[in-house]
Amino acid sequence: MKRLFRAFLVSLLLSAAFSGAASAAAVALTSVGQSPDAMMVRVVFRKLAVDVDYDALMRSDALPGHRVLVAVVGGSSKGLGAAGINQDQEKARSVDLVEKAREQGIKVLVMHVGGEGRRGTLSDLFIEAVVPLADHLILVEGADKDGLFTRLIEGKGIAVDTAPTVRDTDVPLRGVLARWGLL
Amino acid sequence: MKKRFVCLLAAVFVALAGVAWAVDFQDVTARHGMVSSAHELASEAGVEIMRKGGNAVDAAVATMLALNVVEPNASGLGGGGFMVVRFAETGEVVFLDYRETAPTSATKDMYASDQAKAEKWSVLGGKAVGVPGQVMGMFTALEKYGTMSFAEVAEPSVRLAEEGFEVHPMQTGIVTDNFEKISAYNDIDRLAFFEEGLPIEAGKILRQPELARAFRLLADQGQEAFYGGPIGQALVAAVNASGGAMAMKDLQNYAVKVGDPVHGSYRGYEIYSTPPASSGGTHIIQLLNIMETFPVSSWRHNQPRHLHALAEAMKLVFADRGRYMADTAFVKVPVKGLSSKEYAARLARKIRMDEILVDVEADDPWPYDDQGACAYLGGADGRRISTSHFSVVDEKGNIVASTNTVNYFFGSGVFVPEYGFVLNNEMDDFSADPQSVNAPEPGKRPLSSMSPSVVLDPQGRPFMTIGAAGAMRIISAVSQIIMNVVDFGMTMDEAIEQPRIFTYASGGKRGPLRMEDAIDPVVAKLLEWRGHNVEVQPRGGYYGTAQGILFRDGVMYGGADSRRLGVPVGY
Repeated sequence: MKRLFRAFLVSLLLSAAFSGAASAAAVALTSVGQSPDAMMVRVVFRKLAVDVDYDALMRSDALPGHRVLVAVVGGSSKGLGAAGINQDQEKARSVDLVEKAREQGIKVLVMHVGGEGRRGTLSDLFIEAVVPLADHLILVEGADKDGLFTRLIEGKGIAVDTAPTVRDTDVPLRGVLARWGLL
Repeated sequence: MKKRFVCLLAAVFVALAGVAWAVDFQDVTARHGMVSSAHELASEAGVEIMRKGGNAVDAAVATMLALNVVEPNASGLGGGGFMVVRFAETGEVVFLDYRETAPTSATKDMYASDQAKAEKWSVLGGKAVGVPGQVMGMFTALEKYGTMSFAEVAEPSVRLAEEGFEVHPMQTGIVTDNFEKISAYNDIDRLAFFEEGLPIEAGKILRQPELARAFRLLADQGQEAFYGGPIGQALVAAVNASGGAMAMKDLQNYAVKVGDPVHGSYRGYEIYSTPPASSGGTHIIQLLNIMETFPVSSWRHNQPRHLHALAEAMKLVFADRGRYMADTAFVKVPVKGLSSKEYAARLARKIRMDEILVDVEADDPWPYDDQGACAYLGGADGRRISTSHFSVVDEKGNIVASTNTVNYFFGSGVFVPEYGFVLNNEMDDFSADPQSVNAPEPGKRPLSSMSPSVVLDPQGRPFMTIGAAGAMRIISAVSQIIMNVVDFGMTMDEAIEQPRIFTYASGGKRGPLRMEDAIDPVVAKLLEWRGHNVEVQPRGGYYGTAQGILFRDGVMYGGADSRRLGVPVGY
């Protein structure tokens, strides 16, 4: 009876542990620059019925268990202020996160969905820091008007998709996730 | 040799500092009536009412309602404000205070805990919401001074809300910036500003049928629909579902205050503006009183001498604001002392043209007042942009200046979904320090900076109506605009579009000297050499967004701020 109870308990624990692992999303979503754009991308993922683990201030210790890191880049001084960090701290966190993801074999998708309006000194600081580390890049039209993204990925073999608006990023996003075996 | 080189370099800089930096401006002129607001469609709504025979107060209420439609992030039914009215026939100037009040559940220490600060209770969600006063403010203004019914003045706004208007990229940007806050407290599928879960795109037509329903209900049932009826019930439910504690009796107990404006003068021009619980009018008069002791018109505009004196004066003013200002219904405030010319002269003597004030304590205005009390309050350096000001003049020369707000853009983030308007987070204008005179208490009005103002010329004729949005920078913006007109002879729009500075003192220490990047960089460098802690920032709404109307030779000259979507409309 005692054995039976023990076996039941073990199987219960195993099942709980297993279901916990299964429920962890394969995609980790974060912001690089603390603009609200990552929240918008989260909505696009919802539209695709893909679960994501979202944390605007994600750190590298949260990466294990994920297969893809989506880093949505765009600077917001208001967002940085609300998070209580400065641009240098945000840049350091983001670069560490992306580098650790690469070391762990996690695919890195960088998205810039704010178009021309989400460019400027602050945003460009973050763009320059993480775009060269991407496996794939998704942009909304207008972002690369001055060729910054093109320059940053030149010779690095990073593929780029462009969409007219953030709403339309679902199409390239679906394609990338399918190629990476998530859909 | 080295000294010579430095002298030469300084001379070159001073010479270069004379180079004018181009500012685009375009005044709108009219002879019969004008509205200058932060959105063209709102200005048009006010003018439409005047064309139908309404007076400036009727047009002002129409403009307020239209601003709720086209600028729902800045002001509306869920907020409050102030209005200054001058009647052409009698010359009387009255002041309406429909500022929010703290609900009965408020306590002095409600925002003092570490948890309250970490979770931003005064800014986000139901705990941040003050009892809105705007609806009663509109009805009071119409009943006392208007000629039309609410239904009549609401007509353009009902139409605008139902038929919709084209969304500007700036508006999409504002919705996007507040996406997280709004998502946290609402089912965004029920809100008009979102499509398929994302902020509405620029160029799309934004229709707000729920807001139109609220306007119609108010037209049918009067303010009772809000302060005791279905809109109020939905409002209380929304607040309490988002962590707040508001009751219907809070709405039922709300009252508008009608009284006298604060009054002062600048070089013979009479200024009427907001008394406490707004600090704005009093401190604009104080700042101008200090500047009156300097030969400003003999200085070059926005050049080192001018900006140095102005910055030093601002520090002295904001040090006093931090110590003395609060709701006079709860605290004695030395309004007469703060606005006295003798006290200003005493402060002006502290300003040295060759050095800067680093430690800036509040002075003592009580000897210049006729009351006997003292107050303490912690200072603040809010960086947010918010609020909306407009000015109206009708054919008879009646003037309305009105500034309204939900505090931060999209306020607390809590919507009343059935009626499509956002609720303020005005509780954040109280101090979190329970010892402060500006600590929350049931029924108390939080400290404001809003300053709708009317200026008369030395002969007592209407000269200008002006006001701004922009939290504490309202005080610095309105003062700079008045000086631009009086000291430098600028037109209304020219005065509004000039680049501005802002600084303050808090806790005995000077703040940074912030300036828009349209100010000559050589001037910025020279001020830095003088010891100012200069921070150059992009031109924008942080420095205040102003709307105003200037009178010259029987013509109204309208100006509206390009830092926002402001447009004056006249006829």
